[in-house]
Amino acid sequence: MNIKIIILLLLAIFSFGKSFELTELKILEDKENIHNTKSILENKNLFKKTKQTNLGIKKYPIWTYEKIKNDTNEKARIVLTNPRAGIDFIDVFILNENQIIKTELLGDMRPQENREFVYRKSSFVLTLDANKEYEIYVKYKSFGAIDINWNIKNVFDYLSLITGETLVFGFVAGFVILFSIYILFINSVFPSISNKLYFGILISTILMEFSISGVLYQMGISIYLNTIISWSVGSFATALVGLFPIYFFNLKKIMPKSTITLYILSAILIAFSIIFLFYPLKNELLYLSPYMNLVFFILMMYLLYISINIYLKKIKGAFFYLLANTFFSICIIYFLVTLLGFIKIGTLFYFSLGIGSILNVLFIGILIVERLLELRKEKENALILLNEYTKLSNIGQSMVNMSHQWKEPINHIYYAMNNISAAKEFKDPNLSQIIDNSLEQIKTTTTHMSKTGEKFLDLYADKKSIENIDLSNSISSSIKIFKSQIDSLNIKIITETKNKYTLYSDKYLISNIFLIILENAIKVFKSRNIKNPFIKIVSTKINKQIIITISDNAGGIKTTPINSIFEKDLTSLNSSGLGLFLAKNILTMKLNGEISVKNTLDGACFKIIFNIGKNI
Amino acid sequence: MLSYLKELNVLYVDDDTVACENMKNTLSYFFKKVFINHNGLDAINTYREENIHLLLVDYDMPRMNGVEFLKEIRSLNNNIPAVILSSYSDKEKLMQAIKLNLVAYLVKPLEFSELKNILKECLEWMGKFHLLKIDLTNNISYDLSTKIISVDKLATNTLTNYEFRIFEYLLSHKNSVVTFSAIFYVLDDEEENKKSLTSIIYKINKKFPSPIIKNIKDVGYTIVMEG
Repeated sequence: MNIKIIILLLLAIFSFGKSFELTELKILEDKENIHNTKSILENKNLFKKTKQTNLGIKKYPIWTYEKIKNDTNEKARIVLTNPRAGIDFIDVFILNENQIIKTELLGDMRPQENREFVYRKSSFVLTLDANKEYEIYVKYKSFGAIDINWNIKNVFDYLSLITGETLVFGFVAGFVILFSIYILFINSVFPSISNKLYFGILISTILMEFSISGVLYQMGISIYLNTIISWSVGSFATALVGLFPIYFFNLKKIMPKSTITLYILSAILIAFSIIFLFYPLKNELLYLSPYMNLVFFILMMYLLYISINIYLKKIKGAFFYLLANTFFSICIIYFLVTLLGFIKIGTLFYFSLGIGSILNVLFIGILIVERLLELRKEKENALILLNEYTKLSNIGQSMVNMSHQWKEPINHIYYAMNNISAAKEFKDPNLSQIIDNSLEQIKTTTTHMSKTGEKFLDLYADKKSIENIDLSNSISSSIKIFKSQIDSLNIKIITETKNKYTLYSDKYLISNIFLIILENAIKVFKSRNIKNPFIKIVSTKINKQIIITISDNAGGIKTTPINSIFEKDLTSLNSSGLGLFLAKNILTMKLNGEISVKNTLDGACFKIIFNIGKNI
Repeated sequence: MLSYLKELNVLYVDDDTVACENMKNTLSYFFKKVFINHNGLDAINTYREENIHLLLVDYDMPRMNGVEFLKEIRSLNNNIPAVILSSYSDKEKLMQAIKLNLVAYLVKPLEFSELKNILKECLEWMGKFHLLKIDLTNNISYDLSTKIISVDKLATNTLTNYEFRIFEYLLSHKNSVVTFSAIFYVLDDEEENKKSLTSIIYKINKKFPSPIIKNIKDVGYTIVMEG
């Protein structure tokens, strides 16, 4: 191939600068498929004059007739190129003085080994002798659209053109592949269906574009595979384009009816993509492509309608989505209007769909990146919130526990007061004695209350929170907080630890985690009435990890999946609400630790891991 | 009306000993006898052995909690008025309690006026189920709610307005002498008509198989009963 190019380059240096043109374009539509080369050459009069060069999809062969003349005194070498890549069969016969002097068998479905150029578009070299006229007969047969236009370039111009085009395609391919890797990365951090859809759109769009424009063909991909990619993958890509807004904008909530329509249109397109897979078995299946194009056109118009709606509803990201669909729709409409002959075909025509889809993909990409930046901001806010929550939950937790602890003494005070009231009402002769006794009792009780209050304050009195923490201290002070409830439920607390484990960390955060898990266990014990209840806390150290397991015999966690207890759930009344959600977030986001849970034979077992050395 | 309670026995069940002591003192002013237990299992024995008319039960207790205890009681007696006292009012606990046919589910702490209100409600409840029958002698009983006197469990007579007011007042001060002026005070009678009082007492005594009210000359009347 390289040698051929060099020869052509050498030839090009001697090639002529003058431009040539094809004249007297005539066409013959062989609707009954009866003609062969011989019959055509004998029936020149069957050809009719035409101006339309873009014929669309024809189920029968098309013959054309044209003339070209070299009216200079020098030999010229030119390259003729059909602007549409992907025409399946093109047979070219060149006649001089009614003799076939050259036959070229071109088209996507022909082997490319013996071509002058291995290029995505059909092209051939023609040598024109001085002052001679040539007739050109071409037979087209294709499952796709047919274009009977031919561009004429001298060899040198032609080579620089195809190198430039290939360069652009390479550039676009590189960009899209890079971008799709980026999307994969985004998806691994923030997994979402819309990210996966977009990845699918990117990959299948670029595959389709390359297949339609012939790049894959040029790269040596087999004809069948190439055709499957251009139709099946193309159809699949459009289906994904239709599904994308459903997941990205959560369209079910905003426009439920339109969502159903989108699902239907996408399903039809996926059906097409499956049907096209079987094209090697039955080539005629490709004639379904106009219907697919129609569905795709409806889909795009519908998406435009949806994106306008979303934009009017002022939903975040709607602007870029509207841009994406507007550009694509403009390109499609331009393509259609040109195809129908309202506008003269220009170079832009052949690229309009490609440009449209690339712009579409690009704007959706911007949309995803915009959403990503927003998510990052939200995450930062969430971290700040988590700090606040932790503080509040610490305070809240101790308030709740204090009020638990104080319930009994408050009750005692009331009962002592009731005693006085009753004695007074029933005119008890020992009234003053009873008052003295009751007052004495109230005094003892309030003293007890102020002592328990101080116990709680101790835990938060020290303002310095980040220090070396003895974990067993932290555990036992957390247990102390629940003392009254643990005693009243007769819960046995077993702590096992081989060594003294210390951790340089925030002691409030650490104690908060123990508080949350203990409270959870106590709550369950209370509601389930377990015989011989116990909570067992085991601390061990393996390599650079301190592992603390807190297990109980309260019957285990009934929610499925079991890990959903760590999700924030404010709706369920029985759940711990924010508690375990906070515990997990404090551990993973603030303490570089982990928490997991499993059910044992008779209860739940929480496993907390602190990674030493990597802590704040 | 709360004076009816003086004829009744109450069982208070709570694992908190300080609370029990105080409640025992308070309830003694209202009831004939106050029984105390610290868990449900002991309370069932007390209920079986003693004549209990009313149940005040704490929710959270070791061994057998208030709900389990009352479930047992309900299988024995569906009408006895029962009140649960609890420090918590969460949905789960209320749902458990709802099947127990309670007079009330009270959240601690319990204030004195609240206690009196709930005792009144218990009495209304007892009236509805004809549980306010008190035994005067071995074979004679009197229903505080219907004012019916029964002999050998058969209704014989009903006391009228003035009659039952005097009779019930005397009954609540049984074994002690009630002066005429005290009786007139109960009747809100401005004219101290001793003659008509004598005739009312006569009518009351006639409704019993044997005269129950004794006249203490120039002082007042009394009902003498054992127990």
